[in-house]
Amino acid sequence: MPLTRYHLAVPLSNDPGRLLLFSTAKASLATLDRTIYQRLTQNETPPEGLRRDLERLGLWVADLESDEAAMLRFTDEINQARRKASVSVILGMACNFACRYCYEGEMKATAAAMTDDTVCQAVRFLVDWCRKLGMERLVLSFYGGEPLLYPHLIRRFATRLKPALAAEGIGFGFTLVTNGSLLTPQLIEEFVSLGLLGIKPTIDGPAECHNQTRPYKNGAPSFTAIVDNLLAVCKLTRVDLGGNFTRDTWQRFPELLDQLSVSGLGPEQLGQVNFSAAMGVTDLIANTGFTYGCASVNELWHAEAVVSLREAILSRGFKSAKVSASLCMADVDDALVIHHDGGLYKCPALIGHKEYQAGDIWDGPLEVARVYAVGHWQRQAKCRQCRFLPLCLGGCRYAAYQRHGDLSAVDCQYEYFEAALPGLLDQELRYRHGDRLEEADSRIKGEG
Amino acid sequence: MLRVWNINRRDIPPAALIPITRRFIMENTTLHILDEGMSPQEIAAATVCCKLGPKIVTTTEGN
Repeated sequence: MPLTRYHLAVPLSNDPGRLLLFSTAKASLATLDRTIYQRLTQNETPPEGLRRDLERLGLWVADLESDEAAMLRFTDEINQARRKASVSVILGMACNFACRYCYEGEMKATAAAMTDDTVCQAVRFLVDWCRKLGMERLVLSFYGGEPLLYPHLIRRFATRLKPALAAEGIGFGFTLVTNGSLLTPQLIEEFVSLGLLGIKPTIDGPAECHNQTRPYKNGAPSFTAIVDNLLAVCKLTRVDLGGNFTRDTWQRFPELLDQLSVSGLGPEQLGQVNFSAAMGVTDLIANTGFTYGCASVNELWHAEAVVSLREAILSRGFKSAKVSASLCMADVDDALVIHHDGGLYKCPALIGHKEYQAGDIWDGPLEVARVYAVGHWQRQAKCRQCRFLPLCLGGCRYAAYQRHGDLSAVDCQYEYFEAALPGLLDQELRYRHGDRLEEADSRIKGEG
Repeated sequence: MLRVWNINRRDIPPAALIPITRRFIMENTTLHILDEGMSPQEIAAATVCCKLGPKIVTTTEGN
């Protein structure tokens, strides 16, 4: 019996004699003496107690063949366990911002929006779809354009869906992916009564950076309005803050955290804070003027930026997402995007690309597996045997499409994980498990 | 000698490494478990990650 292929061992920063073991499939975390780890890698059989613990953590397997076979079932097992459907709804393309990197680009010029007939059909489709899938809960993520330019559509969805789903014994909630400029306490109070679970605004660093990349359509700065609005609503609903950086701006993002804290938007007021790179896009729909986006997670600067910014977030007491396996929407059976015209997609970035439409709300999902190359990584030996596979699962289909013009190509993220994961795990250890380590320290001291 | 080192307390010199008790050794607790990890149900409940753009791979909800 060996150690699983899907793990990473990194030396503890302050004790090279011990290693931090991380299961990339299970996200379990433990420390182990380096010498014992070395013996395990040489296929020495561990004592019974240690073997049982390693097995429980997903770190010790029967053999590498069954380890790989289990990984082939990984997404199926997660799909079978899901009871919550996640659906993004593109209400319309109108937006009051002119974000430099927006992948919706030219589509927003149409300002096309969902009609009332389409809302009615979308509600019928969603209730029927959730019932057939045996879902216990539906969470919509309203998206645009700017969804708060369509508050009437949000009301129509929520007021019709909530009772229709309740009649089937299915729960309902929704979130807003918003630029934050149109938030008011009155609107949020009303939406909370309709099922609002939280909002996800975006601020791209301190004011001078943000106002360059996310101005109003007329070029006016938007930073102050967003911060003021978030201050006004942060006690009414959960606020998960995002931000998009470039290789030129990421080092300024910690200033944003300090500015927010001074303004009254500190760790107590915000949910999670997660910054990510603005992606370079090259297709005809996207903004062709934005040429300095991140073309691949493997770009050398990117791992340093991600680890440094997460350090800035956690060290200031803000919360950030846990490092764990996560599935692309394309691999999740009960996740969809509904475009404003009723078309169904499996990635919000691919709306409007008709070749990636996979059905509609009248006829239901169609040919999803073929159109989105579901399980594309399973056909690649280098993926099946990659220790980072559960974290990557073939990477981002939209990134593959941008680079290769074909989303069935694998977006290998090996170099990124190799560079970033040790730092991210060190953060997990220090910011999530520091207390447990200290408890263990005290216990051992007491016994000694 | 087996030992545990609290990496949060960076001021402690290596000389202060703490010997683990005999009972620990007998139970083979050389493995210090920090996180039991997530079941498929927990990963599933952590919702869909829209990997739009290059991001760290993380859950988008939870914790």
